[in-house]
Amino acid sequence: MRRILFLCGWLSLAATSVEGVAVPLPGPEGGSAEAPTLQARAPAASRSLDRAVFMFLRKRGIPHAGTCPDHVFLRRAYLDLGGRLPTLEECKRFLEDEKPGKRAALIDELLARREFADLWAMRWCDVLRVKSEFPINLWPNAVQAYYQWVWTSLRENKPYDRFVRELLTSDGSNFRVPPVNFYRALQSRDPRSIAKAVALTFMGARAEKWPKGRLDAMAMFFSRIAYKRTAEWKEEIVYFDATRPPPGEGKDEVEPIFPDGRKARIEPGRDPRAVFADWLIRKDNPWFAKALVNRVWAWLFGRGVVHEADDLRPDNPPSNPALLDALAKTFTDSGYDLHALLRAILNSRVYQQDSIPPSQEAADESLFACYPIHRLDAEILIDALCDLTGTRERYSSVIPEPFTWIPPSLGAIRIPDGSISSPTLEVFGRPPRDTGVMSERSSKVTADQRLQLLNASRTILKIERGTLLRPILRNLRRNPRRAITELYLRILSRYPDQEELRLLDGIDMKNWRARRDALVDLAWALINSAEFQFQH
Amino acid sequence: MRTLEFSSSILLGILALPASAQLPEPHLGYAYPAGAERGASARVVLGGQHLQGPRRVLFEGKGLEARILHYCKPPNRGQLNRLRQKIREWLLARHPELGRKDRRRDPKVQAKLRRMRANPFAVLDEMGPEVFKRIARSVRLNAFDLDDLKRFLPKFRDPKRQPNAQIEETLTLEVSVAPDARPGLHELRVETNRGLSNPILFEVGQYGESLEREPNDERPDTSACATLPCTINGQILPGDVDRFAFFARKGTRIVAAAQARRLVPYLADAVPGWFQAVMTLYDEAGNRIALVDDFKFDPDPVLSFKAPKDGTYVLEIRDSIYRGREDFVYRITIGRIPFVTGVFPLGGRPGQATSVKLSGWNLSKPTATVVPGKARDGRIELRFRQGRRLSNPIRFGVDPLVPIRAREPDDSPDQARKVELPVLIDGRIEHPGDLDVFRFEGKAGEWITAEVRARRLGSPLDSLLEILDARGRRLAFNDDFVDKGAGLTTHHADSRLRIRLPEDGTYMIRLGDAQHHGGPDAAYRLRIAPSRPDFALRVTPASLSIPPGGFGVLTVHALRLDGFDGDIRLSLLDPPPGFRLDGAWVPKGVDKIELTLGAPRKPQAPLHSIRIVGRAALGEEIREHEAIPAEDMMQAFLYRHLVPAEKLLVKVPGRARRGRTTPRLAEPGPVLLPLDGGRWVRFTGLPKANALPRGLSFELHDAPKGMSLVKTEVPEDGMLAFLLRPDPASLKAGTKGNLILRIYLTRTLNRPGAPRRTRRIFAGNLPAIPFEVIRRL
Amino acid sequence: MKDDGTTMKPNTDETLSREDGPLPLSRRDLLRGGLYGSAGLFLSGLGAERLLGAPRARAIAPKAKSIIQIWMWGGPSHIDTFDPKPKAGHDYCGSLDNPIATNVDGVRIGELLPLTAKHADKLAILRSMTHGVNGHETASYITQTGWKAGGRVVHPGIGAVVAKFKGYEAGYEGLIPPYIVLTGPQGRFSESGFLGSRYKPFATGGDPGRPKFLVEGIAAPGITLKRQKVRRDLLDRVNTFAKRRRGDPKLAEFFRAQEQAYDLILGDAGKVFDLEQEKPELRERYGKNTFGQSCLVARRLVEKGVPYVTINYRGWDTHKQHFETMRRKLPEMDRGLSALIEDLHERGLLDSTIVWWGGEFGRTPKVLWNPPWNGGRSHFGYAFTSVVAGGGFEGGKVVGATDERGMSVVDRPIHPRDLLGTMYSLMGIDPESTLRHPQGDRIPILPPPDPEIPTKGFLREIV
Repeated sequence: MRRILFLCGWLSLAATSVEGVAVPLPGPEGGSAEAPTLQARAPAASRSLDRAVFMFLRKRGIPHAGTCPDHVFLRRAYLDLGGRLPTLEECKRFLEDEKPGKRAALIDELLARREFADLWAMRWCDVLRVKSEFPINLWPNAVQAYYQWVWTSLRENKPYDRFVRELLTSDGSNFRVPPVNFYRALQSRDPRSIAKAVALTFMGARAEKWPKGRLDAMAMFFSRIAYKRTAEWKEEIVYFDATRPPPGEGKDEVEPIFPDGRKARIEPGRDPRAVFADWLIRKDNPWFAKALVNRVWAWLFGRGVVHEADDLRPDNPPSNPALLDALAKTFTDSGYDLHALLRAILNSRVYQQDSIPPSQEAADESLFACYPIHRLDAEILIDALCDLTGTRERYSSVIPEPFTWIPPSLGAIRIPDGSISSPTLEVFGRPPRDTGVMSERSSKVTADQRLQLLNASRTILKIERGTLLRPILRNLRRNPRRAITELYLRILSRYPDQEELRLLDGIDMKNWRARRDALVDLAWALINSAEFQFQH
Repeated sequence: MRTLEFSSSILLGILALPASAQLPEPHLGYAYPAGAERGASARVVLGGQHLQGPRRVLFEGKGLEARILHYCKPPNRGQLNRLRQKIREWLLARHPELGRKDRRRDPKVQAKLRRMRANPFAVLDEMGPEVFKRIARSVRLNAFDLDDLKRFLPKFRDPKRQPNAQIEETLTLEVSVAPDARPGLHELRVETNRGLSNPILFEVGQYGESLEREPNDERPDTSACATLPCTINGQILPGDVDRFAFFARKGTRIVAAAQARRLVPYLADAVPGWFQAVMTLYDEAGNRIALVDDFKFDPDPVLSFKAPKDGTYVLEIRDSIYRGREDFVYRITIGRIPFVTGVFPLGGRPGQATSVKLSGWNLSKPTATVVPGKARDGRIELRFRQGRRLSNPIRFGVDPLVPIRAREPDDSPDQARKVELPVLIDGRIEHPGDLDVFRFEGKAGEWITAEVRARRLGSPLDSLLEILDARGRRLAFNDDFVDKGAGLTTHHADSRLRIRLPEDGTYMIRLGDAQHHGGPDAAYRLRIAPSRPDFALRVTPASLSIPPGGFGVLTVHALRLDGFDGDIRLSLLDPPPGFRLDGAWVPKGVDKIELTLGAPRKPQAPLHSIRIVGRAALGEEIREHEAIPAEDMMQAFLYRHLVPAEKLLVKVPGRARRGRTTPRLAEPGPVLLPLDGGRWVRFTGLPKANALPRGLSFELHDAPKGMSLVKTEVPEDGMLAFLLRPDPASLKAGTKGNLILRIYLTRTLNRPGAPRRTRRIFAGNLPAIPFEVIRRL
Repeated sequence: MKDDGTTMKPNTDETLSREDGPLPLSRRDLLRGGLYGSAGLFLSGLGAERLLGAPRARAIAPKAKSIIQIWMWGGPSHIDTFDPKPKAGHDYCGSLDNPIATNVDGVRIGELLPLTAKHADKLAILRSMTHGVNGHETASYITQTGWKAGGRVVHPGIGAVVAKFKGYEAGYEGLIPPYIVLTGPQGRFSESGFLGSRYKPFATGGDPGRPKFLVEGIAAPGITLKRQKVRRDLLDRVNTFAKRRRGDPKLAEFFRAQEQAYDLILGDAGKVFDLEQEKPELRERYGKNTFGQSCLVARRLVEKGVPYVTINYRGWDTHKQHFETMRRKLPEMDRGLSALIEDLHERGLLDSTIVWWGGEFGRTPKVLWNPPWNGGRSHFGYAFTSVVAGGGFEGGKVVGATDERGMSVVDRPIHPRDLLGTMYSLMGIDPESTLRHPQGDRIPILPPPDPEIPTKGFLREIV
């Protein structure tokens, strides 16, 4: 019952917002995009995901959306794997490519690019709380070492179990052995807090909601970590203190027990963290694979199969358990290969669905009956705006001395440090990286954000003075439609439809200023449109 | 500022009042380029503060001279604004049309303004150096010519550049290096009218040198390392990234070794506390092949790769967090160069041949024979000859004991190897988790010291040392032992423990790695011997300027070992005539003390090398150690390090002084200061109190909390003396040390127009007063 | 800005060694000998009070509607401004060694604050602020939230708390957001803490000191009203994407936000930032610089009923060239602050507006003459000064005192939570109230009193 009220709420609301303009009936996707090209047979893993979703929907009699046209898939894949819009040439090359397997080929090409490591290192650094300042206090030199290690691991597609095992069991200096920073990127360093961070990061579990005693037992695995300072500014050695008795034997210590209830046997001199890590990365571990695949699904779809993507617990079941199991199985079968998991998801028809819900029930995001639209992340949006207009944002930090000046070509996505930000990035929801919880990154739309893009001098100057309009302006007078097409391809990565081609018809092309203002206004309007600011 | 004259000659003797003595001594921050090729010459810029009146540049080691070409002191904020105003006035005078009211509408004027703004240099050239010099003089800028302005224009306009007074003045030199000069780092100091600067480092290179040419952030510089091997000199400014392209043939092992922190080891006002370089290597397509930000535990990165195919590669260097400043100077030696990554064993016996195994890259001979000379603090720096070239410097231990080799398996107590004390063991932690255990027999009450030397000799080992009894129970353990003498080491990873054996019997020493690492490089030297109380001395600063007849303050640091807590007598080792030490002792229970060095009234030479030696009674034997000169450098606003220097040089600026006597403590030996009211301390050779000029005052310098200078004029006889009173609330009887009295002169300057301001000028020190607090006389 | 985040315990060997001037007193010193010796009675008294369960102190009556916070970013030197120590000698005062009288007899302030001296009758100078934290961001955090850094939770600052209790949820309908920052956020100290982005301040950007003060987003250069309307229509025609997805809640939210934005752009709510509407001589009185004009904008915002305005005044972290910076910046601050107090007073707004002047800590009274500081002052969290005026605070008062060198607090120590609690009470916010943390539990807006700095609680004596 609650859902139906919820639905009516939309309708009344949406109707009023766009008043006064004739609203075309929701027909087939407009624009010159032809029917989706013949799909090469998807890999087996993708088909298992499709089966899990479509059977689930068929049982409930809910239709699912058709496959999205090429231009929607192009933009979606570039943003999900590369964190940037396709360039004009890349748009044309893909849209005019006839080969049936071109989507799978694009996925493989994007996975192999440097931008994949840039984007996903940013995502992982949100989860790992990579931040130099209060309250995490990694300090700048450790942040850049930690970021490089995460970036290199993603670039080499290091198996996820080895990635986690190195994070949990490394010893050494926070500058020379970067993964030890996992045990420094915490708000407090007592064993319980460390256990809570491990549970949140690698098990997608909120340990404070666990039954009594389970967290204390798990904390024992992290009770033998020692930190020692050196005479180098902010260097800290994190290591397993072998001089102390095994966990559980110390004064008023509980016995170390794995979260699934099994007891752990730790001989003297053996690092308890390694014992826990070996238990964690086993294929039959109920949390490990599920937590990762759910987090990756949330990064791709804006919402996890379990909502609040890092809050897996019995009384918060996945909206489609079969889908979560299929994902976890795909991931463990591939030997914890992140590229394989992404290839399976992006080649699936569930991922390549259109984002227009075929019916009201199908609009419920938790069903994945269509691709749920969600606003672009702050860093992706700002970098896209900069790349489009050929301008650069300057990021700096007053924490180190002398000050840090990030080279403009780096952009927002590749900033290693959560403490280096800008008012614009914060308005668009860049996470402070204080707790590592996924909900820290906000994708809500606020009036401040709209003000920034609608009317801020920074945005206006970017559009007017940037390099976006100069080439288009030259031949605008001779062929306005070609100019509009180029603008659409650059900004929205698609060809304009017939009606959109007529947008500049009323303009007096002979008057240079009128022509220029019209083009600037059109570019401004496209950048301020929901289609540009949303992932769809 | 008026110079200050004094009548009475005695006063002239004491007070260091020639104009030069008032302003602080010259300070050097960096040299760029920080080196030159052997047998070549190079134009070098030194950056620092108070460098006016440069006289000559001094190098340690032969074969290096420098000619001073130009001194530049850039304008401060006020002078810059006045200079800009004056240049604008000159411009309007030359081009009146620029000043017209309607200039905005006149396109010709606008075009000219645009041209000028686009190329300000053209305007300056039109002005010419003479006119500019006159303008600069008018704003009291007498060491700033037209070329300097052109060099500094980008800095004034760049919002990223922060003003930094310590390194703003520059000195341009022409350095020439003899073909037989010793390759490696040499100390460089500048002598000015005012005094002697601190030492900084200048390297004599073996390969061709080149200078980076900006801009090379986006497009790599192709000329810098056109021919390999070569040494690139560069400077990282804020947000700067330097890229260099080089050609490498398939299969060659290219090594790029950066020196950044090694050139300027500590920056007082930078966090992190030095230029933390990161090097990245890209192939022709721009894919990243490697990224290194350190070498084992050393912050200077070393990158090594075997070229997969013939082609052009790009090497990039930047600060790890994109900072930059003029003193972020680097030298990268790149090419098929011999590079030693590790040596085993880590040390040898003085004067005896030791054969060592070398590991590293491009090494023609894997072994070498070393005959170590005498070492200053237990280690020397070696370079191994590989064909025509010398390898990178390697630290090598020197210890008289005959070393033995550890042999695996020796991991558990029952496999422990039996050794006779005193013993020196060369071994390795072969793999993570490897433990080396050694057994020895000990007698009750015997003091035993076990010390590891590894990190201080370049091994990455982070030692963890334990002593066990016969049953394997741990009696004591040590992880990190701070050795203040190891100035450049920031992680004091080497362990040292000292224990009194509880009973006769077998004991075991177990050595492992605290960070559970291990491998062929993790070598160590473990010395187990009966405890032998001892001490080492450091004296700072390594450069000092004392006016003739005046007194300069030196600080002596005593590194006490194995329970030694006695007095150390200090004295000068065959000093040049006229020099004398006052407060020449490091008393019981004190590790750091300030004392004064007195300079002769008529110095024979402007520069002197001063050597200080400390003697102490250890048991029946008198042991003697020379104090190693060092610079007390601050790192990142907080940490302090004693970085060793070759020599302690003293400059005695200014003319010789008339007058006969210099002040001296009336009674020798420590002055006893009673807690109930203190005591008058008298000096011979001081005038009456009323003969002192107006505004002269005395102050205790860095006295311990609770020690106060109460009066400076003896009521009865009007003599100048000092009533020193220790406050019982914060000082206990038995406290010993030195007190130094500083002379200040307060002058009120009423220049026309400027507000009345009093200036306090430091005018010299009195000889140090050794003291001991006692309950009552 | 150079210090690390952790509190620098002065007694460990890691601290500034002796050459850099005597060690600042640690809290243990404060407790053992210096400060509380004389207040021994006081200590036992406090203990007795807790034992006997003294009646709850009388509540402070709410009088204020808005707060203007002048945040002296970097930590101003207290002995060169409102807590002068002329007798401490050259090594402490440097060249600023003759303080001036004010219009309140017996109260003397720094010689570079002549204009503010004329309004001392409206100021309450709190000379005994202390929290002992020397890192910039941890000190900013404790001064503006009351909580020590390092806990599990990131607490919201007073601005965000006022925005929550006095903002949209409490009947504030202004289009201008309830928590405004002139002109850039503090960045490192996350003002809204766990309350999240809804309570983050709206940073105006731009520069009030320039002829045209363009608030980012509200006033755009060179875009006429007509063209704004043309653009709005074009935007609607282009949004075919949204039209095909009518009914999607995310797009509904997108358009709701867009409507609010256009109300600010096209409506007259944005006029409050237009300084041309003020008389030129009033703008002159404030001083034609960024800080002065920011004070004027703050007064206009408070006139419109905005509950919380922060002016982030940069440049006070004078590790080097301290006295040159003081001579350059203090006159500018003096002029802006005195003009703001006078203007509020003349318009009858002072009684309902709290003006809070202060930084995250003071600066070391003993000057660091040696290189590389050459006459600088470092951070000093053991004793510093804040000043409050209006909004129910009695004027012409001095609270607490420091020793003759400004090194330690000797009378009526004030912890930041005491000042914050008083201001909350004056704004009608119960200092005991709690906020809901996104992960469930309820968090009080103020911490319990700090046992290490026993204070007399809220500033009842000047309310």
